[in-house]
Amino acid sequence: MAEEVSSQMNSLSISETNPSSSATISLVSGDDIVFKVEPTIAKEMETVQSFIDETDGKITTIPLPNISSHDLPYVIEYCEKSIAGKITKEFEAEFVKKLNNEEVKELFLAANYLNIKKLLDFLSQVIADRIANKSVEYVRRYFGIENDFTPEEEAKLREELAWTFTGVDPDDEDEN
Amino acid sequence: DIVLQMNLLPPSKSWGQGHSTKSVSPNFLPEELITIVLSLLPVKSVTRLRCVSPSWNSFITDPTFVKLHLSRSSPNDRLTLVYTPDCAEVSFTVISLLQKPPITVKIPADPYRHLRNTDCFYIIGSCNGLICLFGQCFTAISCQEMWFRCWNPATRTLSKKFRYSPDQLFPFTYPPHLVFGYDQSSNTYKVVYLVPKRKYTKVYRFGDNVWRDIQNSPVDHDYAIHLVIVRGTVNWLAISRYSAFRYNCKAITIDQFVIISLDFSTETHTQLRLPGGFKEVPFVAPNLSVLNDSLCFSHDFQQTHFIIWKMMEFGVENSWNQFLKISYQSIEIYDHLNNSNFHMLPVCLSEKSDNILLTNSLETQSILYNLRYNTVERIKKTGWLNGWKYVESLVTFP
Repeated sequence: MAEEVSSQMNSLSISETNPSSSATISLVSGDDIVFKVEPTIAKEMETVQSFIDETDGKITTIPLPNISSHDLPYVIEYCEKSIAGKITKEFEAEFVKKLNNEEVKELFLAANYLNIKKLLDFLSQVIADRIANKSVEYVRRYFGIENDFTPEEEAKLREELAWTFTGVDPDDEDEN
Repeated sequence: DIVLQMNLLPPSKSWGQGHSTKSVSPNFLPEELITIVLSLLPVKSVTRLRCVSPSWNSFITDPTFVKLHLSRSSPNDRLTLVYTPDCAEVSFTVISLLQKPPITVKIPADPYRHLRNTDCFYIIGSCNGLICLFGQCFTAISCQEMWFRCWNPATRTLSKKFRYSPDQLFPFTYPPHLVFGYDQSSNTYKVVYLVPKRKYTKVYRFGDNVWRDIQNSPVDHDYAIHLVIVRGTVNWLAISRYSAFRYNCKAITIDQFVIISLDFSTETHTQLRLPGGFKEVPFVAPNLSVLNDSLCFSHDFQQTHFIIWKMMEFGVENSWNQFLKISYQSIEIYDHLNNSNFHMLPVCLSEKSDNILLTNSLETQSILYNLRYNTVERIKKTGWLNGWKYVESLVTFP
């Protein structure tokens, strides 16, 4: 199963279509849902745009196996706002309010995969803000990092850095 | 069908499979993305996260990450460091003008950051989050030893004393014409000393720990009072062929004024012309300052106005731009007339709120002037003629 997933991730198979048939670009999510978007939206996604350029615009259907149909609408929404020049603090605050930690990470990965610089910058700041006051244990869980300190090593380092452990938020477990 | 092969993903990183399985397999972020996030965290947060794992500990303390973190610290976090000498102890105030009213934070409010027992009483400068301090010890008849220390208040680290003998720096006067800066080309920190009344310039590079003579200044240092750092250079205003002890407008012509710029990396001097619009020798001495990384030249105009010029592109003499011309009356200054000791300086500027902080020698308060609404507010002054840019960083000292 893991092998299948990784081979799928490392290649994109593209089917050629007639460029005159449609001006819109079809983005196909990993779970095979097609999202039709304007070419201007595709321009925001550098990865998608470079495909289109490489094939002289002949290809208009682009599979994005790593992005789910749950995440793709968020990405498209952000790109639309960005083109319209309507990215405001208020919009961004609303945008992330609906997203839990896992969703933010998924979108962060999607933005990285699609190479959308503005979204990447924005989401990295969102994640930084969310973990800034969190405990070490919380951050380990958040990033899935295994603690391979010996208890003695960790206790020693914590003692040395004791001043950084003031004002840490209590962990809330419902947020994974 | 055309099949395009692209290696888009870092190998061996799991991507998870959408939100439906999130409770089972969390999304793992590749190292490069974690790096981006960590570089945006405040010093205290990212230092705490050294306890996450041994590899995070070595990663966060690695000079490459330290540099990345410094470069990413938002300009909004840039604070102005203010030196408030006190006979008992050295303390600092950090001002953020971006908020209105301006926020002032006294660093010693946090006891861990308190600079105690460091045997230093003078700040030479602030650079990349490091504050360079100066100290000396005396016997009954002479100064025996001088030293520098580098202090990072954010990480609460203090370097050892870098000692040298005072005969290396002769003659030495107060306030010392010392300036602290970073040489990007060799990744070292340096202190520059302008020998008073001479053209000699000396450089102390941390690591070598000895004073070296470098190329002479084009003009004597008599008038080198205000030293400002812009983009890896130290700049000061000089009056050529002028050796009087005090500034006397009647004895100076306009073409005698020149800016001398010394590059920290190449250790060479350059002369910069003053703005073409600066045509009359002002009654009181003009000054250099730095506002938002731009070199500024400010001067009195006919004792009615105060003018600030901004060099839009550093080193380009044609890029001087008159940034502010304001009447003393509009900022409620009346006692400056025929007062040859009067001086006024811009301290910092917030482009976001259009506030500029001005300080002058007549008042115990500073002036907060709003460029957009022309409003004037007096705020408490804590002795900030020396306002350095300060940014929190993870930078450590060898």
